[in-house]
Amino acid sequence: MELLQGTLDMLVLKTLQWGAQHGYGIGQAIRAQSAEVLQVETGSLYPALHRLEKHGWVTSEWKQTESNQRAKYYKLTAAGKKQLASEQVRWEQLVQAIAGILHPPAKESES
Amino acid sequence: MNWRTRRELDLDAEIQAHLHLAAQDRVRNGETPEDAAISARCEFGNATRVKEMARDAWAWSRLIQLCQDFRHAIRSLARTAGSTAACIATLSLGIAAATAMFTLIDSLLLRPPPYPEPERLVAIDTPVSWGDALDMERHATTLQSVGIYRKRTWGFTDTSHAPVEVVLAGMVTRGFFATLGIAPASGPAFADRALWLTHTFWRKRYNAKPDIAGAIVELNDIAYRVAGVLPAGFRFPMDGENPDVYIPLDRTDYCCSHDLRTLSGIARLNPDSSRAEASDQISALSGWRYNLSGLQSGLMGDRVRPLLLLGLAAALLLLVAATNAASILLARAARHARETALKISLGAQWKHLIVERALQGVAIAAAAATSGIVLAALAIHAASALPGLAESIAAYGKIAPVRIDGRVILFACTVALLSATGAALVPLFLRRGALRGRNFLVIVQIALSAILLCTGAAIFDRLRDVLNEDKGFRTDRIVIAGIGIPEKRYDTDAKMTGFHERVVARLAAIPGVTAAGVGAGLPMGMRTQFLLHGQSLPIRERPWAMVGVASPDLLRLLEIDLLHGRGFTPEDRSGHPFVALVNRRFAGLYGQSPGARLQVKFWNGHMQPWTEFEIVGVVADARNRGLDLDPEPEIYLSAFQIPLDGAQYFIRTPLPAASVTAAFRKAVWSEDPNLQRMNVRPFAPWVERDIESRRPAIWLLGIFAGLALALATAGLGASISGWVTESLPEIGIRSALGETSRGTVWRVLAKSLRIAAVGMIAAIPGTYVALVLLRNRISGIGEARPASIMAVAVLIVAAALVSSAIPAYRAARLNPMDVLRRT
Repeated sequence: MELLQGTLDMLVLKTLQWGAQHGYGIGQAIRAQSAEVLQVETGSLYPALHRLEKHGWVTSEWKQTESNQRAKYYKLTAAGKKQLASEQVRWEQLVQAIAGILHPPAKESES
Repeated sequence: MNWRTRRELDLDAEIQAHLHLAAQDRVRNGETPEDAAISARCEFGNATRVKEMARDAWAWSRLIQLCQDFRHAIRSLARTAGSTAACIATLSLGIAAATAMFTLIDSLLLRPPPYPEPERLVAIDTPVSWGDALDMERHATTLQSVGIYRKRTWGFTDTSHAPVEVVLAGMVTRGFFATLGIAPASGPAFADRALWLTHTFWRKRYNAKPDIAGAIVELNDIAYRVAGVLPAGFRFPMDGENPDVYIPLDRTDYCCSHDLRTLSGIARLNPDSSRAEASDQISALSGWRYNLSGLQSGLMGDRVRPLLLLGLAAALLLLVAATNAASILLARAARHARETALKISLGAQWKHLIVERALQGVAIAAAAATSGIVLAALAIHAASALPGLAESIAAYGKIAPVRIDGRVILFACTVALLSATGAALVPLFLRRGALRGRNFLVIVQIALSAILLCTGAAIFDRLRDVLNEDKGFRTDRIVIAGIGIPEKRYDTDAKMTGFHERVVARLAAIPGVTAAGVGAGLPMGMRTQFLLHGQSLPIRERPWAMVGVASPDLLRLLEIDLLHGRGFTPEDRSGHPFVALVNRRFAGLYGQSPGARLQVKFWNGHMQPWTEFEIVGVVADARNRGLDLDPEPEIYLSAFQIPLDGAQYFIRTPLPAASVTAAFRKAVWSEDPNLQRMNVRPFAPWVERDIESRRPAIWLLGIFAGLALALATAGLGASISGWVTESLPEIGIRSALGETSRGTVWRVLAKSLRIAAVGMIAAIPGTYVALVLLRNRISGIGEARPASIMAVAVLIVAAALVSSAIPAYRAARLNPMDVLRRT
């Protein structure tokens, strides 16, 4: 399933909440945690990571992986944490609002 | 290593790392390392595209990308030098035409006139009376000041004994200079018999002599004291001519009637008043509808509309040029379709393609704007030397200096940028059907050219009609010369009429001259109010008619035939009863016949306005308001009864004007050696000068239409050629199956004719709308004759045939085997 526009940034930040991770790892994590429902295109993931870095929400650093390979790890910054919090709040409001429209509370009959 | 390269390498390494990690995962799940590497790559997708998009996220990269795109755009244009050059050439043509016309329009209409706070200056649209002007000055709260003026030629002399020089004087009120905000450079206040020299005249006549103020000069023998020199650069064209000197408007001649509306007026609005408010207020004050217009367009008068028409024509030409450029670029894009497809598949974004095309447009615009401005400058320069146009350019130059400045360059660049980027982007949107798209663009070009050609033809037809129609008077074998005589020496009516009578007698005696006469306001010119006998109407409601003054032989000389009664005789002189002739229209409209009496307001010298005249005869109608306007009611008065200080002599002679010039001048000088040199010239061109002034506009319109057609022809030729190239296999098969080469040629020509025909049909509504709209706005546009429309159609068909001749020949010469082998 394709990601909703604008939600990728939030998911990436959320994934990084558990610790620094490289691009491939982030993609895999989102896939695994969504029970394979969400596929992250590399063409969206890398621009998103670079964009987040530009905004100062994540920082990057080249490190060794467990399998002893060099990879670029991204880490959440303090500003990123704040951003994540506010995006999460916004998202929950959005979900509630949409749910309200899709499943309206039963109206009292007028007649 | 710079920042950018480091960033690139970093991105590469990051993608490599991703692929490795992905492959490792797959190996862990049991795939062979080779398969894992391939799968990882497939899963990753288009790496170039990912990089492109990641780069977009970098802050700096946009500008760098733009520079790179620009470099790329120029390189790609240089690879196709031929079509790039064609594109620049066609656009420069259009830009040059638009820029040249904008230069004229900007110089003459848009640039503010050279006076302080020009936006508050207005011109009063209709002639104004001194009395009304005084009322406005005193009571109009919307106006800060009002000035009135009138121009007149005088014989200028001074103590230097140089021969009489004819000068144009601006006769103005005190409010005139105050309104313009020009303080005459030096000298005493505005006084009677004061005279200001313009800077130009001061330099020309007095070599910029510093102590000129206070000198005594004479206009028609009346002494004036030079009060000063006006500032350099001061110019105020009065009906297209800049005065040489300024004098106060004579109070005894012009002050201060309310009904004598013969003066021109300007005014300065109060800071918070609008033009409309002021118009309403002064109309209410004077009980006469006065309209105010901006000073610049007010001074331009009738010259505005032809200028705007030509501006419109230039805009159409520019549109044709831009369309042509678009079709060239479309053909280029079609040839490069494979390259574009490759770019997209390699990860180029649609956005970048648009940027690249737009940048190509910018590059083309820069080149086209430069050459367009140079071409425009050359064109204006060349037009000043071209016999048909030089006079118009010179006349415009008198109103305001015509020059290319920053505004014009800005205009040219804007126009170039819009048309070139437009032309560069069109191919992207017509990508799907390149050939059909080209045909569409060619049809647009042909239609626009046809509209231009038909409009030009309609104006030309009207001019030809006017020149060929019966004007009601003869113009051939007549030579004329105008003269002004000083009122100071000719201070009685009898002196004036006597002078003219004696000169006419001398003119008639010149060998080779068969008739001579003197007159004023003939054949076209003045208007007057009149009152039929027994009528009583307030002055404002009294009717108007044309008025002409003629000596006994003059109407016969002009072959304005007598219908009833008698013509003027030498007995109709001062001291004898005042007599008048009327034309047939007057007689018909007002039911007047010989014997009736009427009062005429027209007067001169010491006569009184509203003198009573007896109608002694009725003459045929002649065009008296304009060569292309129907005759109006007219009253003729006798030149030996009405004192004329300015008059025109006519002689009928089979000889050319040049060979009678000396004798003509001698006849006048032997009566009075102190008069100015007269300009002796043939009558016909003088009469036709108004009409003939349309010729330059026709010329220019013709040039624009011709260029448009040439571009359209080239566009059609290129399109047909492209079609032939594309259908070579079909042509080969057809000819292998037995189509004759004549059949092939015919098929190509028919294709071209079909496109031309669609273009012409598309032009019909446009032409119709253009002609209907213009006819109501610009005098001199008639209905286009069917023959002219046919001629335009034939011209376009011929252009279509010519343009497709080469492609048709190429198609016919094709060896079918060559083509079939290739396919």
